[in-house]
Amino acid sequence: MSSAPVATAAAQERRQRLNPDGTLLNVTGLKTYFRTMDGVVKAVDGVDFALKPGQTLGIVGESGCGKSVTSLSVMRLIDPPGWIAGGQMLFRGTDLAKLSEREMRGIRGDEISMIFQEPMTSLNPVFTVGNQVMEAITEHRKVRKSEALAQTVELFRMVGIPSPERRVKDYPHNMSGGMRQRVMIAMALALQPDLLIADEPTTALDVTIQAQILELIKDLRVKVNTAVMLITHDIGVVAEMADEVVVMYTGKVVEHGTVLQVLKTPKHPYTVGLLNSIPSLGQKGTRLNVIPGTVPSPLNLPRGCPFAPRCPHVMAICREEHPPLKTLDDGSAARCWLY
Amino acid sequence: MQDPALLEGSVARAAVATAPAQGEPEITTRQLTQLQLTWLRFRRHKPAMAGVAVIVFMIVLALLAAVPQVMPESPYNMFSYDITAQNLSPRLSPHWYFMLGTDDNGHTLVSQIMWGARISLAIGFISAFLTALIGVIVGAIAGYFGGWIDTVMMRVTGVFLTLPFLPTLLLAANLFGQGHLWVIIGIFAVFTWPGLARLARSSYLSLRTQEFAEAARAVGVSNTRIIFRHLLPNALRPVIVATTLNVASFIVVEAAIDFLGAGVKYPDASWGNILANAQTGFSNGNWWWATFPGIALILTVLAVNFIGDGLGDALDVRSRV
Repeated sequence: MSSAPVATAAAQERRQRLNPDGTLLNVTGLKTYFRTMDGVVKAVDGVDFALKPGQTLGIVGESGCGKSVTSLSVMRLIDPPGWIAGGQMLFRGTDLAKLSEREMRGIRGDEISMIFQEPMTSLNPVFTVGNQVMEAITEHRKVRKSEALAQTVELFRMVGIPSPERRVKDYPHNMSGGMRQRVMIAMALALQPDLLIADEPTTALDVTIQAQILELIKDLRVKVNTAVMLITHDIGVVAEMADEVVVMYTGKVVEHGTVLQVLKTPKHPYTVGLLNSIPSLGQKGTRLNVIPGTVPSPLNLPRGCPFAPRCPHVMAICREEHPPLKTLDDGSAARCWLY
Repeated sequence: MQDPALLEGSVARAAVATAPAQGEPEITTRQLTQLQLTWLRFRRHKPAMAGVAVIVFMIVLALLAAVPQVMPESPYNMFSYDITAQNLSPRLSPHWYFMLGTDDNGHTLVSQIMWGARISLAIGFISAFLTALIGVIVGAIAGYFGGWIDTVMMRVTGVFLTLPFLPTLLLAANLFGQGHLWVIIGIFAVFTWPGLARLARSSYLSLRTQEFAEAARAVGVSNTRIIFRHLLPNALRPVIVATTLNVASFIVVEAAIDFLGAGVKYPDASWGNILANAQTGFSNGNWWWATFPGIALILTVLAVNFIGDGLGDALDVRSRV
């Protein structure tokens, strides 16, 4: 990566900067709402988390809990009818929520980049893959086309695409899913971002390719010192990759802690349920553990704790009042009346 | 089918044997660009290739009309030219010149049809191009941004669709000068872009939700660039096909309004006004007068439609070579 395009001196100076509290990204009280025919959906409702440089944060939850909306909010890619209704996203001392579209465009793909869930559809079918990676470079750096091409070939080699000189001329339909995801990763890492948002990067891939891609992201994290925000519903992936974990339910953080705290001693009954529902070897013949019930409709959340209707430890107060996120003795936090 | 690219079959690559330094023959693959692939597919569409031949022939006719050595006169100005003069080249004998007969006044139809080809083709192609240009810009912006931008633009489009075609045309012809080529082209563009705008809009409505559009935004590409560089090639297939078909319909409609007397006027010749003048021809037994310009019109329109058909197949990225 020594050949990576050099940013201007001012930009480089800026890239040394962190938030006053030493974090790279500090999200507080993020609210992202969507206007629908039936009312306002609070897809993300007051989410807090922070990322230090080089750290990996796993964001876990069921479908519809607001994981992806959180990541899109950080990228400021929320389109109408959705909008960021409140909160702060402090990145290097500036609030991403307050930047203009033009300023945000300069950050996207350069300082913050993103890998999408679907490698099969995330590449434009009418351009060669090399072209698309080159564009990510030329959008942000003044380099000659030949330089951008050389860098693209180098990136392809780095992400493990065989014979990169030839593959840059391929169209997406010439490539397999795993290869396309490598192209997406190459594109995301082209300018050595400080924050990589990976939205279910391996969900669409088969297991062996999954392992390779995760290995690749791990590897690059060491080489490039990128902080990673890993959105997933796969606890196994979190155990493998993350330093810290945020568990989300109905747009709120319900548990937050280091990967060891959350996976070894889960606090919130929802996290316990999630972990119990992973089938383990030797479990043959027994029924799969599931969390009873379904996620409540975001338009019609219960008055108290949104998990109360499914919770095995439900108490009277749970149905009445929404619990606050409480910091516990071991430094982790849970949003539950049990603590 | 001798092209090596076609032998390979379903995959868009062609095997080409090269001899590397080691001496062992190595098989490498040659990538074909989308354009080459499209051409390969188009070439196999026989009617479309015939259509191309006809259009090329008509364009040559249209161009030759303005070359003094070939067609040394304006369409109706035949008697300014002395047939017996020596400057007629031997190949272009008077026989050739009167091959398709004359009208009642002795003006040769060859000349009129050639000059008419200029008008018909110019109107057909230029109006179709303008229509596509306006339609795609409006439709792309409306479809990509959605929301109130879409609502406003589609309301405006709707207003244009409510305008009555013929009265507006006659009004414009009277206001800006009858038979003025650019007035006709302008009217055609103004009346037809809403269709193209709706077509482009529907493509963009689905394209903007595609992950690759979002992925482009995620690397910092601007909306303008996404609309016109990333998404346009994906949206172009229906637009190109519709535009080709528009060429055909503009040629026919232009002939129709000439026929009604609101279009191109004497001393310019167009296929439509030749046909209008030839109304008396059939009753007088001058069958050639309406027949030959009619054939030119039908051939051209048919050819353009075949080309549109062929383009529709060739531009389908999913279809195999």
